[in-house]
Amino acid sequence: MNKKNRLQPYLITTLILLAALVLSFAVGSVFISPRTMIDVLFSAVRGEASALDPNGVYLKIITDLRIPHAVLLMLAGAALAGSGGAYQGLFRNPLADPYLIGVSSGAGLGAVAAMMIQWPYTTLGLMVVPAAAFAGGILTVLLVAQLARVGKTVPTTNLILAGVAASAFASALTSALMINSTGELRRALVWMMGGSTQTGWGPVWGILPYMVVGLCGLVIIGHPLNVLQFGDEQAQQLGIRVQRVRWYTIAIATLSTAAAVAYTGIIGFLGLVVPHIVRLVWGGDYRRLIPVSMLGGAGLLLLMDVIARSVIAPQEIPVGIITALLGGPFFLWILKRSKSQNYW
Amino acid sequence: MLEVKEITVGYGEKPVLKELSFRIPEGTVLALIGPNGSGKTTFIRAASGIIPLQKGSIRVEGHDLHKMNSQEVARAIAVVPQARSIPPAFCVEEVVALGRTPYLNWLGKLSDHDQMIVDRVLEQTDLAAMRDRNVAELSGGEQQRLFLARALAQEAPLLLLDEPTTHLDLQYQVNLMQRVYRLAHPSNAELAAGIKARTVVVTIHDLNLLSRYTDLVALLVDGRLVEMGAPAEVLRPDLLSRTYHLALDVIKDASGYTLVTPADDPTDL
Repeated sequence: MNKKNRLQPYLITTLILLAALVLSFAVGSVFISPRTMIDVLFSAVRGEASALDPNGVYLKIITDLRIPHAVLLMLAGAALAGSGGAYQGLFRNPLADPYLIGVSSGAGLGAVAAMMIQWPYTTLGLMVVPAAAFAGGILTVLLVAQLARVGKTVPTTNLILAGVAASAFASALTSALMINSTGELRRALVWMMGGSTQTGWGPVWGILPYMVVGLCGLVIIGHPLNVLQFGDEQAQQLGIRVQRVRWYTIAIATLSTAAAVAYTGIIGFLGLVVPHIVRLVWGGDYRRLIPVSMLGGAGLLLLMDVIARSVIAPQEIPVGIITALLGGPFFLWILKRSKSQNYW
Repeated sequence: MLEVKEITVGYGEKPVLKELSFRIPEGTVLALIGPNGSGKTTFIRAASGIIPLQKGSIRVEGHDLHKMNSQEVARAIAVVPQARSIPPAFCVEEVVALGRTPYLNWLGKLSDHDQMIVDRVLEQTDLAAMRDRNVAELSGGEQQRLFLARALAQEAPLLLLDEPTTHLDLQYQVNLMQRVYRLAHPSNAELAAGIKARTVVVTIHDLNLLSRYTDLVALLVDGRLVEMGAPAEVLRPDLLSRTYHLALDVIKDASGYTLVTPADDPTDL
């Protein structure tokens, strides 16, 4: 890739993300046109009441509901797509993603367990859920990697089978926990299907510290992951401390996934689909693939969410249902294509 | 210079290499030969820090391998693996640039100096014209040359090649061995350009390439060094026939190089 084209992937994904943001602010139970939005926001900055929004309702909807909701989804989309790319590189396996290898479900179990003790309302309480999700996620990924390993490699079929089994197990425990809960069942159910039920800035502050560490941590592992594509032995002969890279990647990708799962629930396929699109279009250099996947994941999840909020408006479908509906067929297409193409 | 001192190496209890000792000076090509399972590949893996030594020591230019961290090892020793599977996501130049990994931090950003070395190696291995090609489009011979280029970018004084000719046709086998010989014996122009003579250890099955392209031959049998010396000293019919359990003849070609050939007559079988 020549130097002129190096910025192209970042530019395109950023443009998609910006467009998705505008849509996301506009669409909802009340439609706010971009013109109104701009007027309302600029008036607020100037400290005046907007002529289009004399009561300040639109402003309140945008700043208290739509912006935090969009930020939450952007962070979740970036985390899922970025960690999906990292898992694929680490396991040298095109099918690895936080959902398929069971990390999402494990993190979900951890999060639900924490929510069952007390549904979080304070910021400190909100930060406990991602921590519990991280614990659940890391236990699951270790279990899955251990079960799937044959000698020193992790074959695709084993990884997926172990992931699906662990995922089913964790989901069953999650369901059992929720059945036994008295109050918040519907909320938890929507959450599990990948819908953010908490509104406002609380959840954003709750996951932000984890996201900052996780997303920054993911961006810097591109080069070691590139070297790892040649196998552990060659990576070590090139001076990479393979075990250290492995543990670091698992920890940081799982942290990101857990932070995403904590308040947006279990959103499947995003971590699988986005890195593959990036790989198909711009190649498999992980130094580019991971940050570009994050931008793309953030934009794509926002778009999916706009669809989820508008197909049967004013009712909202959990966004996880939409990502699975669209991601499922795409996944099948990848499976078919990966047999013949040499992009992986 | 490579100094191997009484090393014992194995997987689990049973040693594969037993009390192996030898030393070779700088600017030498050493061929490791021996039947399958004699410990050639194990030596490459031990010498590059993949499996620990149970006993003994390996020194490269006087530095003990086991006192180095993995980056230091990768600056002292470069391995050319067999080009069997190669991840298709990269172009030629990117793979060669990965040879600079022992000099880089996690971000893997190449300095101008690193880029200069990558460019020089691409020229040196005749890969410059295909630097933007996807590696999956390369032929087997080109892929092997790519791995050689990546190893050269490590700028290590010692090169280890693990059966580099095994999957190549005759043209590429000879081409590769010519390059390997040249690495240990650079031309005056190359020496003037700052290219240093490398020390090379190559494991190989084709005995007929040895006397042309290697300086020393070491015969391993069952993890022990049986004979080591100039090709003509080691390639003796009695020794080889015993080692390979096969009647072998050793002849000289028109230029005086040693060739090894089966001594049987298939019409007698």
